This record gives sequence, structure tokens and C-alpha cells, in this order.
Amino acid sequence: MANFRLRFSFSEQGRGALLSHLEVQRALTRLLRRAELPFVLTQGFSPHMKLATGPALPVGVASRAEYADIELSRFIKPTEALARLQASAPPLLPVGACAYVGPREPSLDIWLNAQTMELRIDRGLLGARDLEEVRQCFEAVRTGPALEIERKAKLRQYLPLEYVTAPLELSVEDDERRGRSVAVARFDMLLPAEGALRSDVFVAALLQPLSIPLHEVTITRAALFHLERDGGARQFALPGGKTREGD
Amino acid sequence: MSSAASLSEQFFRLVARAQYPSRSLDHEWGAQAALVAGRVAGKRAGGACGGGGDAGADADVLHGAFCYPASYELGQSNNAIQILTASCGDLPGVVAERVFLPGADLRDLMRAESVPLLTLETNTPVRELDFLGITLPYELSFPAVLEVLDLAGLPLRASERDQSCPLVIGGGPSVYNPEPLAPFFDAFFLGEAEEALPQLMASLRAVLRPPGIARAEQLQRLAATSGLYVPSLYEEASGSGSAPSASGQGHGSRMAPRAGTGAPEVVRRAVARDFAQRPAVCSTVVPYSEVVHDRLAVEVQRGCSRGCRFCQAGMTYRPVRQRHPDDLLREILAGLKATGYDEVSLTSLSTTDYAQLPELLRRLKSRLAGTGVACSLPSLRIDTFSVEAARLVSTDAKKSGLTFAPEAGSQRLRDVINKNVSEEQLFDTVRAAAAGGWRRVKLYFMIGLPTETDADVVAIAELVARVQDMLSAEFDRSLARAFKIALSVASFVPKPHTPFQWEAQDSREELRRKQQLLKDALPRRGVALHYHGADTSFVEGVLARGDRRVADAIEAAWRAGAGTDAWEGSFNLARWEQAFADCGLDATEIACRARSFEEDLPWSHLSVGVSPAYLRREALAARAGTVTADCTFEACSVCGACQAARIDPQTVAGLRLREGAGAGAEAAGAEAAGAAAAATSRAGGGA
Repeated sequence: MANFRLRFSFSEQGRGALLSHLEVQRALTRLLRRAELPFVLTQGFSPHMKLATGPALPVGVASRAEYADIELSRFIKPTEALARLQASAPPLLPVGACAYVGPREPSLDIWLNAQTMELRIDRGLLGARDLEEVRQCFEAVRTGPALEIERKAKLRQYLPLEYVTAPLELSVEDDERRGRSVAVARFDMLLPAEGALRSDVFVAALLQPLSIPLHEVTITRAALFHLERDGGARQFALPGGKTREGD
Repeated sequence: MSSAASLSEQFFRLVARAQYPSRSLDHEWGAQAALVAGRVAGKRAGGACGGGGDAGADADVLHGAFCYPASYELGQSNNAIQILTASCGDLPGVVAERVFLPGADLRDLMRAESVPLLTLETNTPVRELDFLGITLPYELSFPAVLEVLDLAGLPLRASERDQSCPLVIGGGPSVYNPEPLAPFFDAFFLGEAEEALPQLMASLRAVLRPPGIARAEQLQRLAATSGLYVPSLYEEASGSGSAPSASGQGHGSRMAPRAGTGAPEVVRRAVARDFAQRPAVCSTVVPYSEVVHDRLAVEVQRGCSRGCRFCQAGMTYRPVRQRHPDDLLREILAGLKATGYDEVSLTSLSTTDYAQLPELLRRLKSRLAGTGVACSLPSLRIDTFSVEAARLVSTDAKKSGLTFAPEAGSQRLRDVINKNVSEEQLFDTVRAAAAGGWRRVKLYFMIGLPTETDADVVAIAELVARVQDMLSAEFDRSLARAFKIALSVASFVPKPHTPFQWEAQDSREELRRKQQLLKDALPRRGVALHYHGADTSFVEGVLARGDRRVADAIEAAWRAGAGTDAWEGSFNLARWEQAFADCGLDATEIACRARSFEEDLPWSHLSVGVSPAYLRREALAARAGTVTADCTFEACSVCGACQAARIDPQTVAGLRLREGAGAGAEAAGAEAAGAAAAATSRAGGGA
């Protein structure tokens, strides 16, 4: 009997940024059990639900655009499924939208191969330096030497130019809640399936010449999408993906 | 409050730099964050406008926390913290948060940046609370209490804290000889808090809310509260035993209330007499991080009256109270639905003694079929029934191993400790496990038990060899070869309020010699041996039976870095030896000296319910090698616990269950609650 593949989006904001990928996956399985959706269990040695998530988010990086697919044995109306998911989501992982996708759609972690990152820096931390200096640092690190990341107990080198695509958007916003002015930087990064430069490592490198510690800024995955090999149009995992990019 | 908000922001900047940040997040599914924040905000708003009307009522909120003095992963797994915080949430005008100890790296960052210990839910500085309840899970966690107080920015000694500081109250499994911690606490609560909680909170409110009551006066008034021991009101009275020795610890000195304080001569343990009628699932908090017990825990019964003579919990949680299986089934199903857990653990001191276990498991298995939800039993009695119970809950995928505790290798020594298990029962059990598809058993033993000889130690190895011989003779060769036996060998530490409270503890050298003796005698094939360190058992023994003078050594050890000895793998004997020496204590004498029945003990003024006469009778029976039956199933052993608690053992044995009862999570309802109240109750305490 054919199963149904339900895709839903969720975010990890505020304290949620500090959750690890494994913690998020565990929280999602519990969310799905609470939602009492008719998920399919694997028949193997250790039965588990067929849940697949998109590319992992580093600890400390927030996200407004995370996705997961869950296989269901029965069709549940998307509006009802969404209501159940939202009512069952833990406070740090609110659910945004859901829709069914075809059974032959490629898996999220491979298909979602690019992201828009958003970096928010308190203007106070920049002191007298202007935004142009941030842009210069960005360009210097983007076109600079390889950055080292430990992956599976081995040090690997990642050339930023292969992962960080220009251009950098820079703007200034007022954070009314805190009564501060914030510099907002946005840029795209590629997420090839064989391993990518971590966004927090790139940001740490770009902050270094500005003498700003990583934990003083907010890094957010603002969008997650599929980019054709030739750099063509962006495709989003859910119809609402594009509109979420700008919120 | 902006200062609280900025402190919280400052804390989270540190959390982001620390390992395991998810420990500090709060906001788990099921957490009372909103309720707590609402009441605390009400208190602050009410306080700011000076009270009056509803705002005044809010300002009057009693704001406290319950702390497990270890990491979130350990503390969030502790049932008591869940019960206490949830129960306070049900009381009007009270709010209780959770407090855990951050990891070592985060504690360093907090100290460096002057961020004090904060509550989990509202990030309120602990030092600003009305009360702080600290669980004492285990003797080696005593220095962690000082780590909590220091990180909170509180003076360590109660005598240095005034009424502006929270009342610091200890409780939990290791509270029954609180003397080594006496100077650090304002009070200790002895026993089970569920039923007593409203009264306890009312007492705290009565002394904390009227302005201007000095701390000493507050404590004196609190001493009248049932179950509450206020150590500062007690002093050493001259005892009937021998004079203080060179050990630094008095022999036979009894703690007695200071004249004029009105404190009771004997403080008695509180018992949740209505345990069986209370909710079995009291918390639906689902942690983000992987905690030690990451599953739905349901306490099917409290207490165990098997009467193992070394076991403190077996004495301090009497009498046995079992919940109705209909209630349990209904609550387990509702709990799984509310949490989304895929495992439920039926917890208690001895779950296989739960009288309706086969029926409960049969119903659970049928209700959980196809859901991927597993059911686990934490400890198994040594009999074929237990294996049958394990078979009922297991799937082929989860036959990882079964755990049994024969405790001693020879029948003689098993009789001494009142472990009513025969070798045949162990063989039958392992045989049933092997036939049922298990290929691994874990066996718990102890060495250093009273009257133990080398022959008893070697008997452990011989018993294991005979189990292997049995497997070889009765099963095919490949199974016998594949079957693994894991031996876990602990060192016996005499504990207060047990029949062995007077016994000597083996020295470290003797324990190490016996460990080697066992190691040499064990079969080479198919056995893995793990034993507890003799050094930690030694310090555990000092802290378990020491008197108030040991407090100085605990503080000295903490100052030398022993703050998290119990759980961060940082134990260092030299640190403790130095602390004992600096404080003029002969630790070996405290741990390894046998006491006489006539000697007053540092905990003689505290009663857990079982009478000193019963403990003496059991101690003598141990020396004679005679066993005492479990009073829940056979004759009353006249221990005194039932009279002290004014209840009888409550079992669900012989209960006639209606087929299908409790089948629907909603259906059982009031009917089941009524049946639970009528659960078979037999006279167990009458002399």
C-alpha cells in the first residue's frame, strides 16, 4: 500500500538555536507521536518512524527555515495535520507549514543544497567602524585561504570561495525591543551533500578582524532551498518557503 | 525586571559558549514555564506596587525551587524533582522552579563573569528565592551541595545566612543521617513530601511572609512542622556509650534539642499514605537533551518489604503501597500520549513484586502493539516469573540483557543478608532467560558483607562457573559459548537505619584483596567483571555514618575541588584524606569501626518508622543466619513502620479485575479510582 509523505517546516529561534541536530530529531519524533499522526514504522531490528530532515544546523545557529518529511500510512487533511503538528510542537521548535510531496521526490538533505544566512551585529559592537568595513572583511574571508573544520575526528579544509556566493546584502535595522540599532548582513552559502563549510565557522572568521566574539552575534538560517547546478532558479521545499525568506 | 532580564541575557551568552547548552534552555514540552513565569511576574508586579487586592495576593506568592545537585541530565531524570515541582504548581500561592548544577565549564564562566546560579524557568537568582529544596541522592554528592550554595552566592553555613537568604532545606534518599551536612542546611525534610507538602508550604509561608522575623526565630517556629528537622536547634547530649575517642568523632553521643527550643526529641519521617490515590504520572516534561532516564517513568509501587538487611531504601520507604492496575494503565496511555515518549519504565524498588504485574503487562502489550513503544522493567527478582515478565515486555530487538541481584555467592551469606534467593532459583532464572532468547545476564554482588569469609567471596566465582556448567549441559554448544555473564561487584557500605548500621565496613586494603581473590577465581571465558572502587566506598562510608564533625571535612574537600565527585568522574581520595586529616578526623575509624547496640548513633534522634528494636532483632538474626519473610506476603515482622505511618501495606494482590477495565484512557475514570481506594489492604503492622 502506498504511503503518504508529509513535509513540514519548523523554525529554531532564540534559545532553540542552541539545540543540536540530534536533539532536534529526537524532539521531532516525540512531536509526531504527540500529534498522533499515522506514521509508518520501519520493520527492522529497531523499529523507528520514517523521518527525514534537511541539512544539519550547527549548534548556536538559529533557523527560520527547517524542513522534515514524515511517512504516513493514511492521508490526513493538510489543515488538520498542520493543526496537530502546531499543537504538539515544543516551544523552541514551532511548526510553520505542511504539504504532501510525491513519493519520488529526492530526500531533503541532498536536494536542499543552498541556504541564505543572516548575521545580526549590534551597532554598538562595531564602534566607529562602518558597514563598508564589514563588507571588506566579508570579501577578504570569502576570497581568502581555506578554513579548517574538524569533521569525523579529522581536520578538513574548506575554501570559502567554493561555498560562499556573492553578493553580500547589508542593511541597518532598529531593534525596538532592545532599543538598539543592528547591522544585518545576508549572504548565500552552498551546502553540497558531501560536506560543506559550516556557516558559524565562516562567520567566526569574518568577525575575527573586527574583534567581535562569535557568541555576541546572532546567526540565522533565513532560507533553505534547492539551487540548480547552473545556478538557475531557486526551488523551495514548501510553497511558503520563498515568502518566509523575507520575514 | 530589567536586572533579571539582563542577568538572563548575560547567562545565555555564557551558555552559548559552554558544552551541552541544551541543558540550560528550559522551555521543554510540558514544562511549567508559562505558569511559573506568570506567578513570578505577578509576584514582582504585586511587590512593586506594594500589594493590596489581587495584586497583593500575587505579591504573596511563595517562590522557591527544588534542586538536584548535579547536571540537568541526572536531575531531570529524578522523579522527586518532578513530583515536587508539579505538586507545588497545584498549590495556590506557591511556585517552585527547577535548579540543576551547570557543567564545570559553564560554572567557571559564571564565576569569571559574576553570574550567580539561576533557576531554570525564570532565571531568577537562587539567592533571591524564598526557599531552596536540595535533594540528597547519594553521600558522595554532599560536596555538590556546597557547590550549589557557593555558585548561588550564598554563605555555606546556615549560621551565616539571615532571613534575606532562602531557607535551605535538604531531603531525599540520603537525608536519614543529615548530621555531616547539618551546618549547611536550615532544615531537613525527612521522608515523602507529597502528602505533607501543603502543610510544609503553609509553615514556610507563616514564618517567611510576616516581615521582620529573624532567621533564628523562623527556624524555631518551623521545628514544629511534621517531618522537618532543624539541626541548629539540636546539640550533642552526653550519651550512654563510651567517651569521645581520638577519631575526633564522639562515640555514642546523641543529638538532643537544646533547652527552651521546644524542638521534638525525635523527628519522624513523613509518609505519603495516599500514594496509591495520587497521579502516577505527575510530570510530562520532555527534555530536549538526552537525559539519563529518557522515557516515561511510572512508579507502580512505593516501598519494598523484602527486608534485605543492607538496604536503606528497603527500610526508609515502608510500608509497601501499590497502585491499582486500572489507574496505571490509564495513566501510562495518557502519559505516552501527552509526552510522545516511545518507552515507558515501570519503576519501583522491586517492580516484579507488584502484585498485578502479569495482568498489567498483558494489557499494556496489547494496547501498545504496533506503536513501537517499548516497556522496560528496571530490576528483576530472581525467579522464572520475572523472566516471563521480561518476555512479555520485550521484542526480539530489545533482548539486550536481564539484570538480577543475588548479592552474595553462598547460601549462608545470602541468609545473613536476608536475600531470600536459592541457587536453584538463580539456575531456573538463567535457564528461563537462555530459553527465552536472552544471551546476556548481569548479576549484582557485594563484597565486604558482615560475617563474610574468603570462602564466600570465592563462592561468587563458583556460582558463576556452575551457571556456565548448567548452560553447557542443557543448551547447545553455540548458545552456551555465546552466553555472557556480566558481574558487577559493589563494596558493602553500612547505612543508617538498617540492621547493618552497627557493622564494621571492610578497609580499603581488605576490599582490594577480596576483589583480587574474586578476579583470580572467576572463569576465564564468558564473564566480564566490574567492581566499584574501594576508595569511593570508603569515603561513602565516612559520610554515611559520620556525625556533625564530618561537615568541616566535607567543606575542606569541596574547597580542594571535590564539588562534583559523585558525577563528573573527578573523585580523588588524596583530597579527602587531606581534608579528614586537616579536620582531625580518623576517617578509618568512622567507616570501619563496629558499633555496639548500646551506643547512641548520630541519627538516633531521627525515626524512619522501623523501630530500633526491629533493627536489633534483624541484626541478631543476621548473625544467627536466620531469614525473615517479606511481610507484604507473609507474616508481619513487627518492624513498626505501619504503626508509625498509621497505615497498612496496600497491595493489589487478589484483586478481581474486570476484563477490559481501564482499556480506554478516558473510560476507567472515577470507577478505577474507587477500586484503587478499595484495593486489598491487609493488616501488616499489628503486633
